[in-house]
Amino acid sequence: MSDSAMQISQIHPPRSRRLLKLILLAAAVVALVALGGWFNPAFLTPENGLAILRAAAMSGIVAMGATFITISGRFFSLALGQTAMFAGVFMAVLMAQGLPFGLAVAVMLLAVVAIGAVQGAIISMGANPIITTLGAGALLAGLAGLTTGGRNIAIESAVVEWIGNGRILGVPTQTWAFLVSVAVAWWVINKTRFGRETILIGANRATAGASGLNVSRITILVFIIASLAAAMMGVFEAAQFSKARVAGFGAVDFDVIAAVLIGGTAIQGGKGSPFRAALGAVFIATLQNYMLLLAWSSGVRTLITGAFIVLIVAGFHIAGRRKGA
Amino acid sequence: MAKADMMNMTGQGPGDVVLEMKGISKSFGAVKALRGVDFELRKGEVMALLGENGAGKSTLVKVLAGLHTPDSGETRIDGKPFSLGSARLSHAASIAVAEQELSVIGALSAAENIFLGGVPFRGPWTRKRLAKKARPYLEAVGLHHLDPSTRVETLAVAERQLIEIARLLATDARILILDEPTAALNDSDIERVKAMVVRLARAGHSIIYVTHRLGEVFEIADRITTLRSGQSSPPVNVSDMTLEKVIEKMIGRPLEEMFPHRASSLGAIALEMQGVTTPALPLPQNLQVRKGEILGIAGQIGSGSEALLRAIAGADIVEGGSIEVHGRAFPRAHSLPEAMKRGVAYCSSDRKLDGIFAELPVSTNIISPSMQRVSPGGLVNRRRIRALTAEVSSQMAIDGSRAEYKVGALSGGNQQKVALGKWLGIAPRVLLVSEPTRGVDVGARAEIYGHLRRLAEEGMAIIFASSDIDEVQGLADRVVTMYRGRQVRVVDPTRVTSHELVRDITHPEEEAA
Repeated sequence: MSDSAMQISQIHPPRSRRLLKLILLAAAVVALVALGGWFNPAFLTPENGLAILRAAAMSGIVAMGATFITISGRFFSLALGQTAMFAGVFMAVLMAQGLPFGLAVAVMLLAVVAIGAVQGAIISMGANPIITTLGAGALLAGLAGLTTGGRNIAIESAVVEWIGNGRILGVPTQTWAFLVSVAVAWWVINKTRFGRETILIGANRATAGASGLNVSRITILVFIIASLAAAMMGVFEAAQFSKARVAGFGAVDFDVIAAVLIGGTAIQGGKGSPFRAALGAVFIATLQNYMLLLAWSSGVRTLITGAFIVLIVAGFHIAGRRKGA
Repeated sequence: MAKADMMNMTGQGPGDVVLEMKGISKSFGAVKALRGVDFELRKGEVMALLGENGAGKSTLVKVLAGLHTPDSGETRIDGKPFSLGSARLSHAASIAVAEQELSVIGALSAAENIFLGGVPFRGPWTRKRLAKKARPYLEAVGLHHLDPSTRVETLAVAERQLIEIARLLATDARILILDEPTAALNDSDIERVKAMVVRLARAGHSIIYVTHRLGEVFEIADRITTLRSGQSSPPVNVSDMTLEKVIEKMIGRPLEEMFPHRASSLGAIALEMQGVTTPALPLPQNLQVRKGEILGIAGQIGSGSEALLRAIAGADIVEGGSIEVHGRAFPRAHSLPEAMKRGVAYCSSDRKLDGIFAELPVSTNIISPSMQRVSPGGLVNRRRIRALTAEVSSQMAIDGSRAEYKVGALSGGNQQKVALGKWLGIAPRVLLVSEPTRGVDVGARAEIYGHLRRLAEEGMAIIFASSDIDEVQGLADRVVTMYRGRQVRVVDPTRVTSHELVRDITHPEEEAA
């Protein structure tokens, strides 16, 4: 016997609510940009716009991978920042050994696939994803620190230099990569069997298993995808300054999780949108850029970013409930 | 509190009207959940509150509990006007509700659970004093032997249910509302709860008893109020009613035959299992079912009836023996996907746990076991999804206009039709169903039985496990009774009485010993 009030809130087709979230988020970005331009014309220049998109690309690319983890019902990974760092360092070490760029990237990607697969396998056996990825992240950080002795590793390569600073049609490479990642993530989630299965195992793992889906396989793939997205960011990060750094990745996981949550992806799994997570990354990058232009201190910037995240996530929650009542 | 005190406290003779509601209405947006409901409750009576899902029972219960404020209508307690609208007011009216979902806290002791709402004494809060105070309430619900300091999580579900009721008594409530108290219990535990309800009524409590198990009504209720589409019909005495009349009142139309006809002819052997053992079934199991046959496995929860289905479905590890479907043996490493490939579908007894995706739309639920079919080459094909959804919806009579609704928003009957119907996509040859109508309305029940019979006639072999003897006897062509992990016997359901079946699955003489 179900409560009638509950029933009404639930029979609304989900589409309208998804649209509402998208509009809300887009409105937030537009409002921020308009407000920023009003107070500070330098904010509205095309060059600054590209800078914002480039900054958004870094956490945005990783967020595309992380969205899969969240949709699949495994919350999020706390190893993605360290995976990015490890990818950059490992590639730089290989290249320092004389490997050409292509080969170094291929070997590094193989290692990253293994890293993701092992985490996915452990988690699909029932381990808590937060604890598992926290451990994996520490392991990767330790490994990178051990091999490099904590020093940054320079990369001498014209290709890498271009990847980090090149432009296609006047738009930075990172931004292109971001756009492509969004398109690919959207396509995989919405158009492929794997994407649908990811949603199913996130919505109810037991039912998915009882319907014959291979939950372990999907979980492993999801963590491989997220790790690859992190590796991509790691390569761009290293390429930008032609050196792989072992520090400075501490805030990545926070930015990524914030982007996914601001995008309205349900933390309990089963629904979510890479597109909205991308908008979430753009929103955070815009906000941070604006505050940098105003030369606010980092404490204030962090405080305001945090406040906005709480506001937007709470806004979604309330909007989601209002719709039905 | 001792029973004698109860009687004195209320200061009334039996039979007086303690609660009277007139013209109670409550709407949620456009939906009118209650439309002018009249309700009355006398002192010391058990009033069964019946109705299909969505008839308004829950809303009425919530109004009484103070969780919903009625839009209109008046309520009288002991003849005096009383306005409900908050849990506090309901408490003042000495109304207490035991919700359907158990709300006892496992990590606390029985005594602590009983006094969750407030401790009945001043001064220090010692375990000993608490236990002493709790004792009379435990006795009132028949838990004489229970140590009040026992942690609740170590108790059986029935005992937890009884503690929940003891908690109501501790609030000094005179009007007790029990919302499906027996839904999660097995037969012997149900007896304890029923006996307790009768005792409480004799002690002067007035009880509103909400249930789906109509058999209980005739055993313990004095009168019946039925709700249908938010409207009430005047209360009737149980002694004037028959089961058929009650059902007709609930569904508002004459009840055609509840069960479909039996199989007229059977085909070749569809499934044969020999000497199968699993961790849950240490004794070797043999079973055979033919095309077109509906085989019923009768057994209580934990009797092994469900474990038998799980073994065939590949949901449990098969340790020994062999299973053949249409003459082809299962491989040694039997798994659920392997069973599905061989045309075995398994619909579990707990659809919320692993039968449906409550938060996802009907269409997504329907395609979930058929992902290969709707996504050739790994790419989702919308046309195939629509076609499969339409096909299953029409076969199972699921409202097609609701294809994009969340399954969790549908009635129990419709949810069950989705949980069953999703398997049609893999064209199963053997359909295994555990508790085919748990949490399903009477009206929808007959419909599901009809669907199962039709599927059998189309050549499927169906095995269902059920703890509902009427269902087993009415639907099955052949019945296997199970008790504690062994098959008692195989019988023709038309040639045994339901009492014999009950005896098979409960072994009362053994239980008593």
